[in-house]
Amino acid sequence: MAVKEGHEEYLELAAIYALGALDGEDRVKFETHLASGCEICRDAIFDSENVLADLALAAPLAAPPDSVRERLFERVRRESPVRNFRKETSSGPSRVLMALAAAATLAAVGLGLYARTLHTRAETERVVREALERDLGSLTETLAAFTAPATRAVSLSGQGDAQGAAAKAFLDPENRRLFLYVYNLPPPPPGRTYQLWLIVGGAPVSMGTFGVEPDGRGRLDTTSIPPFEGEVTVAVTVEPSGGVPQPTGPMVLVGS
Amino acid sequence: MPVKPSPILRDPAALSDGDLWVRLRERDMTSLEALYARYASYVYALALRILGRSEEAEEVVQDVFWQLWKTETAYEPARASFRTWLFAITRNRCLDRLRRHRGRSDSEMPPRASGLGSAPSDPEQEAILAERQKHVVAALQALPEPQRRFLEMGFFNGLTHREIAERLGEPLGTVKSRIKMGMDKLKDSLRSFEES
Repeated sequence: MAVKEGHEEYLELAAIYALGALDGEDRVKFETHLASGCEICRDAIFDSENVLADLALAAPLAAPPDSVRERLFERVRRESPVRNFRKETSSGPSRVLMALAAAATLAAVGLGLYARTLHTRAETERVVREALERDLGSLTETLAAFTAPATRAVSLSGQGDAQGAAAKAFLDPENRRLFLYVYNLPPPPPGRTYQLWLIVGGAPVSMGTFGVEPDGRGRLDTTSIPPFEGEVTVAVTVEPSGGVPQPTGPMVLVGS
Repeated sequence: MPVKPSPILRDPAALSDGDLWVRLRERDMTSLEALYARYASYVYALALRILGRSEEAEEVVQDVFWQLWKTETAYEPARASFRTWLFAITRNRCLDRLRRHRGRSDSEMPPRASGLGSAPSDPEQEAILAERQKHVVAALQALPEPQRRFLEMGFFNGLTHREIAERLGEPLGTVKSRIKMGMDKLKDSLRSFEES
């Protein structure tokens, strides 16, 4: 598509607009331009949106815990009328039709049960295979992160009431991943959670919240650490459940 | 005349996204199960990448699939593939949460990209999803570092172009041109994948 002279700037803004990142004067300027009916810019936005949709696939694949699925379907069953096409039969045929259908049904049920058995077995094998592949993929990714040349290991020591606790953090700046392994950390008080922070240049950035097992072990794997160079501090604080934007509670683990 | 089997009689796992969506609207839970099995990992991965907190990412997965079940947001097959639409919903949910954390209201934020694509989904798309993921990751990694970083900060961190410029101490014009260049290169790369 030929671009009108002087239009390059708007195409630049169209890309940022599609990203959802255009604000301020540029946004006003671009929306005013769009309102004038520019087809070139509308096409450019649509084009960029297609590209951006695929960016979602760039996130490292991770399976949610089974409990998420269980809670979702429990809610579906509890709050909604549910149909299940697999189990449905038609209703309303005449007695004659029903009688004629009975013989066919008997045969179909036999075949259906056999097919269902085969299907169930294949489905089970598929689910197990996919789970194993996911586990293997996750282990491979973790190992690659641990052994990457740029990966840093940080030892964290217990503070205050958690003197006996310890932790190891592995930071993989290339893939922006962080793995935290915690030991001997007592469970947080009711209504509280542990929150992990990465402190770069004096500014704490939340890396997520986590709990611990009864034996004091905990683990966190996050894929969004900010870019950093030089010294970095890793710390854990006690915070209200759900976490907070900035640390407010006592520090229980820290290391640089 | 040969009879085409009704989608209703087929195993949900073998149905296209579009057929599953039709059945979902009829309150068929097996269709929700099939869509969950197909996409929950991608939704969770995207939410985890944006939010960085597993607990919140889990809530987003629940929200997104509950929203699907309630069919509160209408999917228009003519406008986008189901996958594209699902990822756009997921990203918007995540950005809403990010903005709440930052204490900003939506009215102060730029409009959210709808992220709509052009091609309706079909079973073949499911088969090539993993391959496409590899290609997207490779295409992103192949970008010059600043272009990749700017795109990621906009897409995954929900930052505006001014915020990116401020955080990285770059001139606004540089941020704008690099986002555009990065987008163009990604477009070319993904187009070559579709043509191959």
